[in-house]
Amino acid sequence: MAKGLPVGTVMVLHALARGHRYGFDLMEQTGFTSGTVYPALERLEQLGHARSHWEDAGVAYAEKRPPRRYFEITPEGKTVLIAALEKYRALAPLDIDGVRHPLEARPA
Amino acid sequence: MRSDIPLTVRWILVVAARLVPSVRRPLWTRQWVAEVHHRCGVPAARTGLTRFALGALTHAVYLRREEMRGMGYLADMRHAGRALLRRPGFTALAVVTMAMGIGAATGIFSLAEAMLLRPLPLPESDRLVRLFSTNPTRGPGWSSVSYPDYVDLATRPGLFQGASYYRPVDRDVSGGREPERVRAIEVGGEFFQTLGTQAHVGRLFSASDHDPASDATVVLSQRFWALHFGADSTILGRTIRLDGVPYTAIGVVPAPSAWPATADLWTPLQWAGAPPAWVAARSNHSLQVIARLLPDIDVASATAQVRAMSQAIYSGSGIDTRDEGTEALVVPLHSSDMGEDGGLVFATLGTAVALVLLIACLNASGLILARSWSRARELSLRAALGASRGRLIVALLSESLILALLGGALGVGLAHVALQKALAMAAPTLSGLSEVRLNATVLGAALAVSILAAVLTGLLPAIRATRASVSHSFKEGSSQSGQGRERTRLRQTLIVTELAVSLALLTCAGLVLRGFERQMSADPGFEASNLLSFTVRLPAARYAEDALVNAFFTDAVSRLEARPGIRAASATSWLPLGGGGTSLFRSFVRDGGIDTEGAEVGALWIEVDPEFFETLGVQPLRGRAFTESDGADAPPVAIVNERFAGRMAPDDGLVGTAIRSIFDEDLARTVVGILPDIQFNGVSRALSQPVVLVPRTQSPRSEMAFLVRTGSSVAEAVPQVREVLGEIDSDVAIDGLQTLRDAHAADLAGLRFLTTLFAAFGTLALVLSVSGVYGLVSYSVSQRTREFGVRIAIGATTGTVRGEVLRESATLAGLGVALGLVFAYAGARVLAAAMDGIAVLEPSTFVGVVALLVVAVLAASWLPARRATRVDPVVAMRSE
Repeated sequence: MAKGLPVGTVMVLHALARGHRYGFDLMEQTGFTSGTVYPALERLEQLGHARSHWEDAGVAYAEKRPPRRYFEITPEGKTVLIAALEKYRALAPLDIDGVRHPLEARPA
Repeated sequence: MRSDIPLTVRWILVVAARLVPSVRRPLWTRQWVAEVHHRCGVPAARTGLTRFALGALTHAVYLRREEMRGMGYLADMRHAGRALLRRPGFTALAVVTMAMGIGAATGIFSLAEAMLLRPLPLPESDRLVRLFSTNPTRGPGWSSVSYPDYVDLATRPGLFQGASYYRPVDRDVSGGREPERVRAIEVGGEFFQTLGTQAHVGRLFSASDHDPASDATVVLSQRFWALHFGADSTILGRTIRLDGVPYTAIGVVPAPSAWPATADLWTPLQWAGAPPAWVAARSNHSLQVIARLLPDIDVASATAQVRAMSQAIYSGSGIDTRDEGTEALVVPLHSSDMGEDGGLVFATLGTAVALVLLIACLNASGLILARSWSRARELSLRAALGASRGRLIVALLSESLILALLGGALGVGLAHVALQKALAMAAPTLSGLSEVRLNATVLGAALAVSILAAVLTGLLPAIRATRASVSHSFKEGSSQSGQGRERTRLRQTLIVTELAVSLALLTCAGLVLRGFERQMSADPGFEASNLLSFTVRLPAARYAEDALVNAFFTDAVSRLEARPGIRAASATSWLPLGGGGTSLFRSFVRDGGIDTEGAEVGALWIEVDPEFFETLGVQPLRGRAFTESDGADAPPVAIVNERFAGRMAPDDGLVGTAIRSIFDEDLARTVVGILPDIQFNGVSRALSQPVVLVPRTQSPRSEMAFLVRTGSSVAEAVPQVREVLGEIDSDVAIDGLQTLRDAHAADLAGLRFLTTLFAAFGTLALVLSVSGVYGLVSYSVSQRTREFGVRIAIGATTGTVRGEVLRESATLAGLGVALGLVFAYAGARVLAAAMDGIAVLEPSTFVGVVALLVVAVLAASWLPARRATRVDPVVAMRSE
C-alpha cells in the first residue's frame, strides 16, 4: 500500500471484512451517507481491495426484487486493512481536558 | 415493482444516470434500482429515501470524473498548454485581450461589492434595514421618516425585532487648540442594541442615558478616539464639550462596526418617551430609522407590508399629497448609503463593462478561429478514430479555458492596480470607496467571469472546427479554399459586431464626458475665482436668541469687510455652485392666490446679507437688492431669480407682489427684485432652478456659510478669516475653508470618477476592436499571399493591391458604424433618462466618434496593406 486510504474508505473496507455485502447495509454499518459509500466501493474495487458480483437473477426473481450487486473484500484488501488498522492503533487513548476515551474510562 | 419508488427518487436516478459514462450506465442503473428497491422494502428506511438517492448523483459524478481522467481530458489541457507555449505571440495577445475584459469586469464588480453587496460587520447584518419615506407623485427620491411614522411602522409588532432612529448633526468640539466641527449622531433608544454593536471600550447607551434628568453622555468612534485622545482608555468618565455643553464620555465604538461609518460620536436623544412638539408632526420628516427584521421576514415582504401600512395611514390623515412622504420603503442597511441612484449607477457601469468583456471575448474568439484551421487535421483524425463531437469541443475549449484563466489572473492584477490608483485620487471625497479590495467574493466572481469568457471565446471556434466533415477536412487541410474563406467571413462578422459595440460604448462615454464638461465649464453667471467659502455653526446653548445670532453674523461680515485683503463678504445659507451650506426647498404660491396643485412653484430657499450681491458681483435685473433697512423688524421681502419669476408670473409683473411659502414659513413676502439666473446648484441638477432669496436677519439661522470676495491673493485672506472669527468667538469652528472652485470640484468628484471610468471603458473597447481589425486584416492578407503575388506578377500596381486591402477594412468599418449608430442611439436614450445634462443627439460627439473609429480601423489596416504590396511573386508561388 503506497498511499494511505482515507479513513472513510478504510471503514467501508472494515465493514466489508465483517461480512456486510451491499451498499445500503454498508451505509447502516458505517453511518456514512450513500454519497460516501458508493464512490468508496468503486475506488476499492478499482484498487483491487474489493470485488463485486451480481446476485443470481433466479434468486432475486424468486424474491420478487431486482438482483443486487454484492461486494466482498479481496486478499489484497485484507492485507491493506490490517496495515491500516495497525496504523490507527498508534492513536493511543488520550486524556483530553479530563475526558478519557470511553473504553478507558470504563472501570477495568 | 418499480412503481413503489417515489417520483422524486426516480427523477434523481434518471438525472444521475445521464452523468454516468454510457458504457457503465446499464449496470449502474441496475445496481441503484436494486438498492432503492431494497430500501423501499424496509419501512423504517423509507423516510430518508430522497437523501439516500442523492448518493446516486455523487456516485455518478465520481464515475464520470474517473472516466474523464482515463480519457485524457487532463492530457488535453496539457496538450493545449504546450501548444500555447509554442506560439508565445498569439498566446500573449489573446491573454492580454482577455485580461482587459476580465479586469474591467472584476474592477467594477469589486466597486459594487464594496458599496452595495458587502455585509456590514454586525451580527446577522442581513436583517438590518433602513426605512425611508417616499412620495411616488414627486419622483423616486427617498426622504427621512417622521416620528409618528416611525412609531406606526417600525415599532408595530410582527415585522421588526427592534428599531431605533437617529439624526446626524454637526457639532463643534472645543477645548483643543482650535474648535473643530465633527459629525455627531443623535440617537433614540435601543440604537446600538438594534445594530448589535458592542463597545470597544467602556459601555454604550442604556435606557438611563435617554432620561432627560441624567447627565449628558457621549460615545466616541474609534477613529475620533485615536485621533483626539491617542486611544487613551482613561478618557472614560472625562468631559468633552460639544457646542460648549459638557458631555461625559462613556465608551468607544470599534471602527469596523461603527454606523454610520462617517460618525465621529454619538449622543443620546433625551426625549423621555415623548418627543418635542416639532418632531411630533406627521409631516415633519426629520428622522433616519434603522430596524432589525424578524428572522423569517425578508426585505421585499417588509417593504410590501410597510408600504401598505403607510398608504392606509396617509389616505386617512388629510395630509397634503405633496408631502415628502406618503409611502414608505425598506432598504437593506449596507446598501442604503448609495441612495436611490446606487443601483442605477451600477447597472449602467455593469452594462458598459459587460460590453467591454463581450468585445474582448469576440476578439480572442477571432484569434483562436484564425488559428484553429491548423488543428483541423488533428481534429478530423480524432473524429475519424471515434471521438464524439462533444468530446472534441471540450478539447478545444480547454485551450480557451487556459487563455481565460491566465487572462483572468492578469486582469485581476491590472484591475487591482488601476483601482488603487483611481481611488487614491477619488477616495477622500467618496466615502465607502476606500473599502474596495480583493476578497474571496471578488476573486470568486473573477473566476466565474473567466470561465464565462472561456466559453464565450471558445465555443464558436470549437463548434465551427468540429462541424466540418472528416473527409472535407482532409481534403482542405492543404489548400486555402472554401473553408478558409468561410472562416474569414465568420471573423468579419465578429469584427463588425465588435466595431458596432465599441462605437456605441465610445459614443456613450463621449456623451457622459460632454455632459460633465458642460457642468464644469458652464458659465455660473458670476466671477467664480477669488471667492473663499466656509461654514460656521453657532452653539445653540450660547446663541439661543435670534438677536445674538444676527449680531454675530452682522459683526463677522463688517469685520471681514474691514480687512485689507477682503473686498466684500456675506453670510449665506447656501453657497453657489453647490458649494455647501443648508439647502432648503420650499413651495411658494402668490399670496392670496388659490392653493391649487400646479399653481405653486418649488424653489431653493436661501438667506443672504445685503452684501451678497456685491460679493458675487451680480445685481438684480429689475427692482432692487436688499439693503440694511430690510432688517428683522422691517416688512418681509424676497428677491427671486428669473426662472422663478418666469414660472410664477410669465408676464413680468412679479416685483411688488407678495409670495408665500405654503408649507413652511407661511408668511407673505413682497418681491422687491429679480436676480439673473446664476448657478446655485452643483452636480446633476438642472443648471438653473427657481430660487428665492430672503434677508438673513428676517430668517435667522445659527448655521451659515460665508462667501468672501478676496483681493488678488486668496491665500492671504485665509489667515485673516481665521483671525476675524477668532476675535468674535474663539469657540466657534470654521469648517471647509476653501475656494469656491475647490468646493465645486469636490462636489463633482463622484461624477468625475464615473466619467473617467466610462472614458476608460470606451478607450479599452476601441483598442480591443482595432487590434481585432489588425489581426483579421493581417490574417486575410497572409491567406491571399499567392493571389497578390500572381497579380503583382501580371502587372497590378501597389496602389491597386493596397486599395483593395484597405477597401475591405473600410467595408467592415462601414458596416460596424451603421450597426453601431443604432446601438449608440439606444444607449444614449437610456443614459439621458438616467442622468441629467446628457443630450441624446449631440452631432459633434457622434461625428467625432465615427471619425475616430474609421481612422483607427484604416490605420490598423495600413501595415498589413503595405505588407500585401511587398509580396514577392516568386516567393508567393513557391510557398504552397
